Amino acid sequence: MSEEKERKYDYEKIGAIVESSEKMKANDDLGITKEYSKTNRDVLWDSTKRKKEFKEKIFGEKKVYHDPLSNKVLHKSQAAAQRKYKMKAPDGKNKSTAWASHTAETDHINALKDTHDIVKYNPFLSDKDFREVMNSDSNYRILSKKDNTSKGDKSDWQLIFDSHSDMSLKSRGIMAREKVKADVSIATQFTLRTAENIGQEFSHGVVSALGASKGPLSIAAAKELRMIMSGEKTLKEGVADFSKLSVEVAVVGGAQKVALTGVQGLVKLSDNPIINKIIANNGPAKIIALGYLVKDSAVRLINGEIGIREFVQEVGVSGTMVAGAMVGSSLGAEIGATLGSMVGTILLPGLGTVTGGTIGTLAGEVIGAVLASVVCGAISTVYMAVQEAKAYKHKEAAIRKVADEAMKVMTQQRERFIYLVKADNEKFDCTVSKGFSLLMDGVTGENTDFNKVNEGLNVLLSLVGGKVLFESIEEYERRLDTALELSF
Amino acid sequence: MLTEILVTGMVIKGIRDINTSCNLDEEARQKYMKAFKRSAEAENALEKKREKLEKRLKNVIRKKEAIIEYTVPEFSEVYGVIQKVNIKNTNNTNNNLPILTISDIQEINNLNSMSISLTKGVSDMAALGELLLYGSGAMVKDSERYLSAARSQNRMANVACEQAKNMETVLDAIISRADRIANLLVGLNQLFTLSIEEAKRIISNNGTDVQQYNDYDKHVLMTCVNIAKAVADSIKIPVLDKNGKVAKEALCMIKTGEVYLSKLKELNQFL
Repeated sequence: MSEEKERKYDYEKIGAIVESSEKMKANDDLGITKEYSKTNRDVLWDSTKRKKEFKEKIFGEKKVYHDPLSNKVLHKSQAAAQRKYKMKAPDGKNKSTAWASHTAETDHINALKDTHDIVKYNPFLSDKDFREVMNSDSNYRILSKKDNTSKGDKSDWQLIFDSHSDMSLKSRGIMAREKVKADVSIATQFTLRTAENIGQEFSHGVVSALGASKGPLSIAAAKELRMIMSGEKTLKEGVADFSKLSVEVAVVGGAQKVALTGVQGLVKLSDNPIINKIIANNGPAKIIALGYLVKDSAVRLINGEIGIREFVQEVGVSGTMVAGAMVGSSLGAEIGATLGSMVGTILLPGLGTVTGGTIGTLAGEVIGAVLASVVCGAISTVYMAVQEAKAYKHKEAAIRKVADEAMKVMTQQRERFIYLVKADNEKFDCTVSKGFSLLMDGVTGENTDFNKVNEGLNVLLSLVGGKVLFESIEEYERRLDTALELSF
Repeated sequence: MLTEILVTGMVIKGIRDINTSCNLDEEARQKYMKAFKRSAEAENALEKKREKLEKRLKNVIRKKEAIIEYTVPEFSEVYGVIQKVNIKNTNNTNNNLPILTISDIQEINNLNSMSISLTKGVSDMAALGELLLYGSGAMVKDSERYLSAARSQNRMANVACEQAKNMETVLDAIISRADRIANLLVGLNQLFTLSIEEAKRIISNNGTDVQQYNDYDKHVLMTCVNIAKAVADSIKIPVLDKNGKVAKEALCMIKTGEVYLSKLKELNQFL
């Protein structure tokens, strides 16, 4: 087939997909069951049969398999492992669970629940799609029963980056590699299935729901789709090369690289006069830069730091056209329409959606979602990080301020108190010393000086604001007939 | 091959970031340990001070009880033959003190047990997304938050320790006053005892008709009564006068500390 014909064939194929999508009515079989439960999992999404097939495939004719993650020999048969590792004691009681480290099980690399949480919002996937993708070989691996159980709810990334784990660096590398490949593979499969399943209902909420399946699900698909669109590859070739290429992109990547790849694809599809007009002025790299510029301004707009007028001034007209739809602003349906034809629908998860006046090509939709999800992912990540950073830094600053003030005030108060107590004690000591001194003077002289004794007692009694009962013997004699009242 | 190199490179970077994160975690842990240790030491010191205060106050009470149980009855017996003596025992051995209670110490404890609520989990997909965008620096961000919380906890512990120090200062003031009062009572009791002995000698020599005594003997009896009054009044001296300057200043100081601690608790919980 000539190059031109091949390209026409691919365009036709895609056109057919688009056309069939446009004619297709809303499909009741589409939409993944929202509730994740054990029953739903077992009935709808898990596949014992496929797991068994995978295990058979890995083991082949062999009875054992060397697990690169645990560096252990795993037995195909549980009974064999139990026998070899002497599960039961002679009396029949279970003696050891070592066999569990040597029994092979098929494990999902991406857990059903984790992926379900993300794709359940995609209305263009069915439970069947979900089951088939999640139980494809690329999402399976062989693990020991023990590792599978102890893994629990932890994700692979958590295991890989767990500093307390005794997994070797090599094993972590292997796990990471498998994880990335699996991510990319299921992302591709979901995206391609989504593309095939899309019907005519590009409604506001539907597109918004598509955008909710953000992140890795659409990142890696962009490049291959672009190449398919440009005719560099057929759909089949694109899928075949997808894993290798997309792992590279995903690993080296970052939003910039993916976005640049996507935009370069758009440049090649420059039959669209609107794209031509924009690209002509900006070039792909500028659009990427614009994307980041817009991202910062979009965050500030979201935060309420700037209004729409300032936003437009900041990002300029071209940027506004990109960003107008991103923030779902009132910059207009026409901007949305322009945007729609350029990059399809751009979505800002949770903050609203602008749907292009013209839906655009199927690939454009997906690329648009990719760009949006990547950039918006960056926005929301930056936004969340900024909020969290602000929050914890604010908290620390506030606490520091109060604590510093507290230390200063409390220290001053303590010093003042110590001084006060010292002065008070000195006064007490002085009074007591004076009182006893007078008493001693009074009684130790040649003749007892009762006046001095009284004076000394009066000084002591001044501590309680009191005085002696009798200052003179005349006074004393006058009171001899009355009872002496004393309270202790 | 390229993929393997790239992925391995990513993992190595990730593990390097883990080390950074671990260092930050370790620093945070050390700060927490320091904060807890300091607060525990302050709590311990305050408790010991409180025990000392109790002992000193009991000492004052013992001195008072000795006077009331021995010296006063003796006076009553000796002097009672001269003049009718009515002794009222007001049980004023315990003064009303603004003594700090164990609940004040527990207030410091509550600050220590403020939960460290930061969680360091990063969800799987978020981790992948962040990994692609930022690398495993996301983990370092979590560690920075953890360290920030540890620094805040340290600052709060400092304030709590300062409050404990202030409480100790108040207790020291009460202890020093209690010891002074105890010494005063000992001195007065000795004087009282000697005076009673002298009065007993005079009564024994002269009989019970005071009109027949000379001036010196009358002075002796009169002085004995005056000393008895002085002792009776001295027993009532408060260890810490509630209305006095020192008590008021002490309460103000403790209250200030409580207000600051309360504010810090609020900031830590609600921001």
